[in-house]
Amino acid sequence: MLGKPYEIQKADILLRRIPLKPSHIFQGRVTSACFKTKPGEDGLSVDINNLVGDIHKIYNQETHTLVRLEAVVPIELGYECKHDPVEGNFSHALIVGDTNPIAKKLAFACQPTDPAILSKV
Amino acid sequence: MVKDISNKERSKNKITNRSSGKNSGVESTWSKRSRALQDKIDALIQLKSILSRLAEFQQLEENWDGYNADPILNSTLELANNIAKYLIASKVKIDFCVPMRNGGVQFEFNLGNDCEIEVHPNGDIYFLNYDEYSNIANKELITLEQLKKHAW
Repeated sequence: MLGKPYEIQKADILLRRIPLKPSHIFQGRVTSACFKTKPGEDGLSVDINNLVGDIHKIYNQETHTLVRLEAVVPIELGYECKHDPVEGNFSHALIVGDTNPIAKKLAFACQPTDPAILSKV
Repeated sequence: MVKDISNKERSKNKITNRSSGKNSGVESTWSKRSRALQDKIDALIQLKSILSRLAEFQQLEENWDGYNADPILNSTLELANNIAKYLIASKVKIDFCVPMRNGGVQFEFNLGNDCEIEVHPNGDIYFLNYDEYSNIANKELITLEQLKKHAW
C-alpha cells in the first residue's frame, strides 16, 4: 500500500529534473525537449512538491537541476495532473497524456529551484 | 600651380575616402568580400561547435535524463549532422541542439519566430513553427530533400 492518493490542486508546485550533461538550458531557458513525452508513455513524470520533503533527495546535483512548475499551467491547458505514486517515490505524479503540443509552454513557465544554476550552464 | 594643388587635393581626398570607409567602388567590394569571409568563418565555427555537441550525444546511455530516455542511435546522429550542415550552409543560426527523450535530436532556431526541427530515431524529420504564445502554429513532416530545397 502506497498511501492515500493526493489530489493535485492548481496551486500545487510540480518538480521535474533537467539534465545538465548535456545541458538542456540555453540562455536561461529550459528547452522544450525536456517536456516532451515519448510514444507509449502515459504522461510526463513530475514530483509533487508538497509530498517531496527534501527536494535535494530527488535529484543528483552533479547531473541534473530541478525546475518548478505551477500545476495551474498544464491544468489550464486542459491536461490532468494525477498523483501516481510508484515504489520508492510516493511524490511521483503525471501530467497525463501526450505533452508534445504544450512542451514549449511548460518550458517557458518553469522556474529553476536553484536560480544560480542559470549562470553555470 | 593651381592645377597642381587641385591634383594633390584630389589624391589626398581619395586616400581619406578609402581609410574612412566612404563609398567608393573599390571600398565597397572590399567590404563585401570581408563580410562574406567573416560570415564563412562564423559558419565554420558554428558548425564545428554543433558537430562537437552532437558527438557528445553518442555517449548517452539509456535513462540519461532520469526518466527512461532512450540512447541516441548513430544513424540519428548521422542524419542530425547532415541537417546541421544544411541549416548552417543556408545561413540559419542554430541556437541550440539537444538530445530528445525518444532517442531523437532537436534543433532550435529563430526565423522571426521560434522554430524547431525534430530528428526522430526512425528517420522522420519534423519542422515545427511556433507562434508568439509558444503554440505550435505548424508541424510538418518533411524529407531531407525538402529541407535542402527549403528557402529559409
